[in-house]
Amino acid sequence: MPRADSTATPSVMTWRRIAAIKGASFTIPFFLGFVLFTAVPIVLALRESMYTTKSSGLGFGEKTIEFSGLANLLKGVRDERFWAGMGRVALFAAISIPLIQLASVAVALLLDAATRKVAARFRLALLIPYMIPGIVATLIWIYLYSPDVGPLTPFFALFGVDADFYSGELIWVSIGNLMAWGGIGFNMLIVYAALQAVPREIFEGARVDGASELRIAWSIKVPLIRRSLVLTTVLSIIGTLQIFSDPMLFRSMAPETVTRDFTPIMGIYDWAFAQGDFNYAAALSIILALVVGLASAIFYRFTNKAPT
Amino acid sequence: MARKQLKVAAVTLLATSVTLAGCGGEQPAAPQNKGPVTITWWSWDEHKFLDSTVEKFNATHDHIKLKAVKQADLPGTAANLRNAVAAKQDVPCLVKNFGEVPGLAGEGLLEDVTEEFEPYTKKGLYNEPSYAGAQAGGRYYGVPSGFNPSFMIINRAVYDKYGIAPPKTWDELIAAGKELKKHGVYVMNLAGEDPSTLVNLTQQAGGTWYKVEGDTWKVDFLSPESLKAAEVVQQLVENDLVANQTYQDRPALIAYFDSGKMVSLPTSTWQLGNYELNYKKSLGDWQPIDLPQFVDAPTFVTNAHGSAILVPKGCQNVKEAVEAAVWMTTSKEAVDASYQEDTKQYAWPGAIPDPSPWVDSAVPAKLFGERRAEAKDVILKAVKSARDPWVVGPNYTGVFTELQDQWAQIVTKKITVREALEHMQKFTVDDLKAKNINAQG
Repeated sequence: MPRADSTATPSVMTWRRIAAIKGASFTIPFFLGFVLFTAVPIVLALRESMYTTKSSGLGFGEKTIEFSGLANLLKGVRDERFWAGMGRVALFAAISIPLIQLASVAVALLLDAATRKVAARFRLALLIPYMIPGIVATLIWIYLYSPDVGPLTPFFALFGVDADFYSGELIWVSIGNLMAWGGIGFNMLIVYAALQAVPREIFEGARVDGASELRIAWSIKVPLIRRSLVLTTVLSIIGTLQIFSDPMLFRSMAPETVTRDFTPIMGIYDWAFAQGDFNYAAALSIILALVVGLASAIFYRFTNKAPT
Repeated sequence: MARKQLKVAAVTLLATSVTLAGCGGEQPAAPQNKGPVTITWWSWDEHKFLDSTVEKFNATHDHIKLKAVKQADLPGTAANLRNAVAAKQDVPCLVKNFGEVPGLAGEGLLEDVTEEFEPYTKKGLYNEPSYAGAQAGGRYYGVPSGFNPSFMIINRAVYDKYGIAPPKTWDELIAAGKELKKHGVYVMNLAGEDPSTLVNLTQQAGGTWYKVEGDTWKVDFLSPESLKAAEVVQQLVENDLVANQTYQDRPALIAYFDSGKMVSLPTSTWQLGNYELNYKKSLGDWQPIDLPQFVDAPTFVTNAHGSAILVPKGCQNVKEAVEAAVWMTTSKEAVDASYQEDTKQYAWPGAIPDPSPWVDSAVPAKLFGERRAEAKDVILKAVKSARDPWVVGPNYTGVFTELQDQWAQIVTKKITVREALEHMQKFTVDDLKAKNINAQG
């Protein structure tokens, strides 16, 4: 018996090792992609941010590239216009994300309460806006909002409301409405899937105890799908802080409000492709990545400690 | 073990990628002794414009072959060229201008072609105002492609309806605007994203925002000429005399121009065909008139800032590129090759001393109705009285986007033109100094 054990052990180890390598090999495509498209760009951006391109004289001669260490990052930290954009978007996120989440959860709860057949129809209809590419969606809404050719302004005029969707006061509402239109379907789908995974017996038990449907939704369903809510919220935070294409297109309609550095990414884009200063743009990108990471981390921590 | 291997693989890959990215293919110039040299030309013009020019050039030249590469649009051309120059690979030798030469030269995108181009300046091929647009700091970074004559077209039917005389000065235009406003008509359109009216007025007043003094840029957004231009814009905006239709939605814009609610357009030859093609209601109602003048202007002057065909940094055959571009901008063959059957028009030959043989074709048949014959004199007068005092600095690309933001606030009355100019003065000087460029102001 001991003999048999001693000969068997190495072969088991080898088999395990092979299995482990085989298993790990499945992650290679991911890691390759991660290294190529995430790690390498971050390293390159960090390197770029540490240099400054300097001209001399009248500015037409050869430029020199100097190592400037953290100077670009420090300049970014003190850049009032960049942080004004960040503040603008943060305020927008603080208002729009909870509203969009609330709407998504409400729709998901309604679908969960409906029969499967009804739910399937609505689920698809609600998801269609999410399937439309962002740029196309924005163009559709730019037309809908247009005071000259769009249908919304005359519609509101019927009720005596003078709605100018491109005015400074309404521009964020217009962008927020567009984001909600595209985002609710996706968030709803994730929340709905989580709701479907909750064992139905729990609801039966609650009903027997005399809980109303509202009570069940608030006290049982919502707490049980908290993880999904955290996920969709974090995705929304990341997406909203990096908002770019929507305001970029709105810029043509309301250039007096949507300035070239209206949001952090628009500012970065401007520095890189209008001002031609890739070093500083790289530094601002890193700062933005840190802010987004920090905001997500704080949110995670906050929600993990929250009472259930 | 598996983890370790992966780590090694990842680190190796990372190292290779960084190394690869670090050495962006600096290739030695290929020897060009044998056969014709191929010059690649980037432009976002439609194929119907590019192809006839390329065909004609190749039919008349043995030692150079021209090859047009169609670009999607202006921003696409800019992005592609910035990438090509940075990568030092597949750099074209000629590119349609997508900015101001000094701004692009300041970015390091252009090749100094002074040595190759200067001999052509002695041959009398170009008109005087054309040269400045291809220069930066006194050197050539492209081949002049000339300027478009500036004049105005007005919807005479509406002017007549309200008994208003065509304006000869900017003050008269403002007065006309006040009269038209009573009838719900705007005298002009100032798009919120396009500050070119302010730029053009400054040029017409003889001003410029940058000047070279020794080896230093002297920046002056608040010069008397600039303030004179600012005053005209301020009056137009302050009194609500102008519409603010955006250029982004072209069909809506043209339909608006056609509607009779906006009645004066500073314009040029290249835009006339578009109006002719798309106006429905007002065709025949328009009249070409001389560009309004500043009241105290000593002589009749039109703004005329020239453009250039760019020669990018890294072009391997500068001499041949310049030769091809000179042919494109000055030869009769090139102008003739630009003829379009559908519009019956030639591309405007803005660089040559005498464009009069082509004026007639530049005037569309129906736009001006019975007043068509007036157009020829208006255009030729604009060509003759063209002046180009305009100089911009190496940071103008970025300065212009800042100006766009300021302009949007001007036309929506959030700030005055003077406030915008004060801001631009500080922004421009600070930006130059931050780039380690000598600047004063």
